Amino acid sequence: MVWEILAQILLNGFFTGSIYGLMALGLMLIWGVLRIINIAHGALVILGAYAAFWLFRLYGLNPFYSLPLVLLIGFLLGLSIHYSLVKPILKAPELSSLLVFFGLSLVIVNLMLIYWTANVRGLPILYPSYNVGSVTVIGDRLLASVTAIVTTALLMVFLQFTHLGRSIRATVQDDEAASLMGVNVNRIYAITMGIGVLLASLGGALIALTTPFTPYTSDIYALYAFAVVVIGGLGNPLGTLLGGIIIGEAENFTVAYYSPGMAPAVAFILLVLVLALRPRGLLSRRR
Amino acid sequence: MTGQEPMMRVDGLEAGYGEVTVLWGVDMEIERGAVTAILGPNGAGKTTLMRCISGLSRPKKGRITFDGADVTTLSPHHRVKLGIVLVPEGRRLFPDMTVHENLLMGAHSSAEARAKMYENLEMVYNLFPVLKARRRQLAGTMSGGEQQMLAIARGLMARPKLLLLDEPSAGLAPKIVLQIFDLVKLLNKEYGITIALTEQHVENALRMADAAYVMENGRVTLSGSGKELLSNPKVKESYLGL
Repeated sequence: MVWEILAQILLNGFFTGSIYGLMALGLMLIWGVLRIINIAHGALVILGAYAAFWLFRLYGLNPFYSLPLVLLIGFLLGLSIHYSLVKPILKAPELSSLLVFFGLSLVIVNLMLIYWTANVRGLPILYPSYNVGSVTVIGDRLLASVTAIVTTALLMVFLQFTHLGRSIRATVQDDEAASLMGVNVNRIYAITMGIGVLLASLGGALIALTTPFTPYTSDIYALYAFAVVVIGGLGNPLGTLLGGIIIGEAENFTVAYYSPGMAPAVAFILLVLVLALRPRGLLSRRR
Repeated sequence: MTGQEPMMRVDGLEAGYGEVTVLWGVDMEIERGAVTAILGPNGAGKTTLMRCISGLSRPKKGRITFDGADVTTLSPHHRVKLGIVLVPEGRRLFPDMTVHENLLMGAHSSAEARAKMYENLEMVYNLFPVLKARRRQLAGTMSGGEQQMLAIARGLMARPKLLLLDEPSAGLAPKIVLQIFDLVKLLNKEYGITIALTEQHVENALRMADAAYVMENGRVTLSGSGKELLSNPKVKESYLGL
């Protein structure tokens, strides 16, 4: 009996964790390439959640079918954030970007509150659950988790094997040297912002599918994404996925055996531990 | 020397970092098909000059023309397409990429370089068999000499017309330094690449160079053919220790 409960918690932790990993990928990518910590990431995630929610509510679109539209909106939003807010401050001190994104976060969250209220939203259960032994596999969560893992794998393939992906990695390692190779570094920054916000919206859509949310939930996802990226390290999507799963498992075990209120605290204890023991992240390469 | 228009001309270049001026009106000509050596002590402004020519730094004043066209305000990635390729000081490889990936990055520059990528890879691997043997190794884990070979090979992947080498022999063992000089000669004579390099090994550089400039405190203080400068009394005294 104990083993079955344990298996159930592990499975739930894995499902939520892989979604956390995906949700944090955009933050990791922007952080690594532009050296900017996007504090508005949580707000952008929740914006993606609302996009999936409204497309379902107003047009009856299944969130998996509306994904292409949500991703396109995310990419274009990322590009416009880049050209309007990021480009002017690329050479400015780091504090500027923190302020700009803090402001952006406030604007997005409050606009969502004004137009969409603080009511708790969520999508109804769309796919059947089934039992394996006494462990329940929730269909929606399984599909969301599979989507998260496939997306992480696709991002890795993109970064590893395509010309554009290689240019992004080169820019992470040495932007000046990349420009000497003919890479238009400003274009790489813009595309990275686009992909980063696209991944945030995808994360949001998957969260809409699995967890209730309000505009205020932005903060907790921003903090979780930050913890996941620090644990997983910069530059490796696999590390981010691993970081997400660690946070997901920690959250589920804390909820089951201690108290739901303590879950964020446990995430931050893990964050501090990783910072103390492996400051460049669990999967970082030594230089 | 040949009477034809030089490949690159630098006129009255002033440049620096923030409020600090490093170059105070540098004039220079790089002849087509020649090896041009730029010599001088640390802090003379050689690296700043290389950064301005490649587009990494913007000059405050002056003009840089390449093949008759003004390139002074072009970004580095545009200059690479024209064939101005810098192998920077300190090599600046992508340390977390393999040797092979570093070479592929070199072919990123232009449609032409991309189209001839496999041809160039074969050429480069023939030129540097050691790189072929280590193609799957991370660039950051190789020895200094191998890293310099890779940096030059990566530059060649962009099909340079003008190859700029900033301190290619810095920090390398004497035997490797000689290999690098042999390589420069080979690239110039056999492959017809115009080369400009900065060097601390003054005597070796002057023996090889068709033309040379000596820089001090951000100005060109001497110029001439390599032979002329080798016999110049000031060069002998200050740089050759004779």
